[in-house]
This record gives sequence, structure tokens and C-alpha cells, in this order.
Amino acid sequence: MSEFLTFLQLGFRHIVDLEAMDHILFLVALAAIYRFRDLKRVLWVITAFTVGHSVTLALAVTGILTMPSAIIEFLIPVTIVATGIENLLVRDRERAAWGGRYRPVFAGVFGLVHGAGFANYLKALFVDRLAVPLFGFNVGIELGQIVVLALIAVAFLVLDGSIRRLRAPSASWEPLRVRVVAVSLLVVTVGSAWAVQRSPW
Amino acid sequence: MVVPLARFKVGVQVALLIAAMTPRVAAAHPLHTTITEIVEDRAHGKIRATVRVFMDDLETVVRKSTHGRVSPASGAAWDAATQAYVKSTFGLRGHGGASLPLESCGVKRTADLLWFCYEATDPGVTPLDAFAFTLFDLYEDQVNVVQATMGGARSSLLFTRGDKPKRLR
Repeated sequence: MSEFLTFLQLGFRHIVDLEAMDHILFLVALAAIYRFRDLKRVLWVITAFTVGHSVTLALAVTGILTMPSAIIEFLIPVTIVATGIENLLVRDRERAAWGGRYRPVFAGVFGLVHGAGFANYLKALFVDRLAVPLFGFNVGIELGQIVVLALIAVAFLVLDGSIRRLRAPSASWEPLRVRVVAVSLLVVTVGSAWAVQRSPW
Repeated sequence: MVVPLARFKVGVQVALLIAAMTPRVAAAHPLHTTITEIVEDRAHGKIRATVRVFMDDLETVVRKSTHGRVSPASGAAWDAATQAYVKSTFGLRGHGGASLPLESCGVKRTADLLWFCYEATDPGVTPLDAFAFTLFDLYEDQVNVVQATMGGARSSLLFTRGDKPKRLR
């Protein structure tokens, strides 16, 4: 097997593992506000997240940037909580700042934090040949994220269907808003608990 | 919007329940992997392998296997226990599956990693297999990478739990 494929598999397995729940939960928080027809917007957000974590991963592994792992591990759940809170606060995205188009920037900045999380392990391992393993690992992470997002989309479809069935015909609330609130409350609660447990102070 | 007290209480209870269920995944998601570099030295008829293992993982597995009696502070006992563990989980096999005796060529530490160096006499026959099962007894998601340079060509092998030895050349 080629070196590229080996590290691609390593990255893929790392992200689709249930132990990677902090990264998966962040993807859930990011995706919570979108409908199936918003695929283009989701892709922009995920691409920005990818760019963000690729940048810090490369900087940290090459030794250009050094980050204390305790702070990074604490900041990862903070990004989950912040995304969940933003989901809850912004009801009308068309009327939000920049017409709600700031979200890719937001995802890109938070991606920087998540990339630093991966980097702390990889930096120790990639001591000689960097380029191919790093590129392979990153591609594997991206493919893994696509698989995770596809599963999240299916879960949201099922959830939306259940909400529609439970909704009284006279109800004024939108099923999407119920999903956003339910999912965001869940991620905020779990993310907050992790942030407290990982607090370096 | 006013939230009725009963609903608020239910919300708080659900939130506390979820928070109570989270500790299992509260720890950061570590990369459970080892990386082994194998280089064929044809000029000297040797094969050299360097196994890189995270120090904290090794400490956990050694403490577990020695029922807490051996730790990094144990000096020679720690060195012997780690060498024995790594040699029992990594190896090279020649013709007919015969294990190649591995001789230690030192151990060094960099940051969070321990590097175990081993040398074997190259049997010079074509088939050569490797296995890298280190830490499979500790983590279900352990993935071990073996990178080999044989006859100037580079190749990589990936080992996960349940794998058998794989062909290097």
C-alpha cells in the first residue's frame, strides 16, 4: 500500500470513530440549521472548517506553531458550545449580519482550533517525512467528515419527519426551528460539560 | 417568552442527565497509533526497525500487565518490561514463518514518544513478513503503521486488531 493511502486510512478511521465525539458533535452543531436543499451552503461551511484545520495542522506539525494541548482540548468544546448558542440566538438568518453569510468564516476560525487538536498527536509521530503523511491524513479526515455529515443528514431527515408527525395541525412553530433548538440544546449541554471537565484552570 | 416552571424543571433535569452521561467521552480524542520504520541494509545484511510508541500508552499497558508493580520510575524493571512488551507485539518473519531474532539497538525518548530500535540479520530469502500488534490489547481503535524501505522501494502497511502478519517483500 502507498504511504498516502496508509495515512488517508489513518485520518479516516480517526474521524469516523465514536471516540471522536467532540469533532462529530461540532459537525452536528454546524449542520443543525440546514435543510437538505441547503447543500451548497453546508459545503461552503465544511470547506471553511477544512481549510481552518488544515492550516493549523500543517503549521503545528511543521513546528511553526506550538500550542499548549490543555488549552486546545478546552477550546474544542467551547467551539461546540459557541456554535450551538449561535444556532439558538439567530432565528432569521436572512436578517442576521452579512445575511447570515458569516458562518463559513466562523467555521474556518473554529477549524483552526480543531486542527490544533489533531496536530498535538501528529507532531510527535511525523518527525521525518511530512508532506505525504500529512496530506494523506488530511484527505482521510475530509472523507471521514463527508461520511459523518451524510449520517447526520439522514438522522436529521428522520428527526424532521418525527417532528412533523407530532406537530398539531394548528401549531404555529416550524419543524426546522424545533430541530435546531433541540439539537442545539443537546450540543450546548454536552459541550459545556466537556468544557468544564477539560478546563485547565 | 415565558417558559412554564414545570417545563423549565424538565429541561434542567434533561440537561443534567445528559451532562452526567458525558464523562466517558470527555477526554480528548487521542490518536491510538504507533509508527514503525523498517529499513533494509543490504550492504551489512541487516534489517533495522524503529518502533515509535506513545509513552502514556506504554505506561498504561505495562502497569496493567504487571498489576501496577512497574512504572517509568522503576528503572531497570521498566526498561525490561517495555522491551519485553514491544518485542512480543512486533516482529519479523522469514521463510516458513520463522521469527527473525531481534536485537535491541537502543531506546530513546523524544517528547511523548519512546523509540525502540531493533536489528535482525537479513535471511536474504525473498519472503519477509512483519507484524505490528502493539497496544491492540489496550485499545480497540489502535491502528499501527509500518513504513518499509526494501531494495530502495517504499511501502506502507496498516495493522488493526485481528490482523495477521503481512508481507513486506
